[in-house]
Amino acid sequence: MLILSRKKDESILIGDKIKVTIVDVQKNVIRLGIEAPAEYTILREELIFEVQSENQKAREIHATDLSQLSRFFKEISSKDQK
Amino acid sequence: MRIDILHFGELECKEDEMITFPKGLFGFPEETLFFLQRNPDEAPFMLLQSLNTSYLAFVVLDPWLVEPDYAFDLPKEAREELQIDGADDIMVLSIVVVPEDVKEMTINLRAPLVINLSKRVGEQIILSEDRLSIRHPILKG
Repeated sequence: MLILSRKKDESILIGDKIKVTIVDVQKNVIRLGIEAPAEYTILREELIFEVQSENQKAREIHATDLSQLSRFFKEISSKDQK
Repeated sequence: MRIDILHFGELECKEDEMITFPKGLFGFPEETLFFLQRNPDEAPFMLLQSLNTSYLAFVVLDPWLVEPDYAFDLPKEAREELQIDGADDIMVLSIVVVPEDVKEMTINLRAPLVINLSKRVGEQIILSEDRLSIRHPILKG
C-alpha cells in the first residue's frame, strides 16, 4: 500500500483520469473530492460488507414454501389498489 | 442435470436454463452457477438456486413490483462484463430477505442481479445511487 501525506486542498492523481482532492480535514473525518470518469463506480467500502452480510441473511429463508410469501404479497397489493 | 434441493425438493434443470455469475454473489464468490426456478403458485417470487451448492438458494423478485419508479444507471464496466449489446434481453432481479416474521421481509434495491438472458450471464451490481435501500420493506400494509 502506498502511503503519502497531503494537506487540505492538495490532490493526488491516479493514472490520468482520476483525481482525489482533500477538501476538508477535521479531527476524525476527512472529506475527499473525487473526480473520475462516469464508468468508475465509487463506493464506500463498508457498503460491500453490508451487501455481503445482507446476502448471508437472505440465504436463511424463513418460509416453508414461497407460495406463503406469494399470498401475503398479493393480499397487500390488492389492498393498495383499493 | 438432476439435483437434489434440501428445502424445495428435486429440480430438473436444462443446460440452457443455467445462468453463470462469473464473480459469484457478494459474500459467495464461489457460487457461479445458478438456475432460476419459477413456480406459478409462488409468483411473483422466484428462487435462484445454486447449482454449486444444493442447499443454497435465494428468494428473488422483480424490483419494479415493489418500487414502480425504480431506476438506475448500469455502469459501463458492468455492461462490458455482461457482454450487453443493444439486442440482448436483460432481466433485473433483487434478492429478498425472508425473516422469521415473514411480514418484515425486505428487498435489496441497492445491489440488484442484472442478467443478460441472451448470453445467460449475470452479475450482482452495487449501484452508486445513495437513495436506493439495501433493506427496502416489501409488505408495507
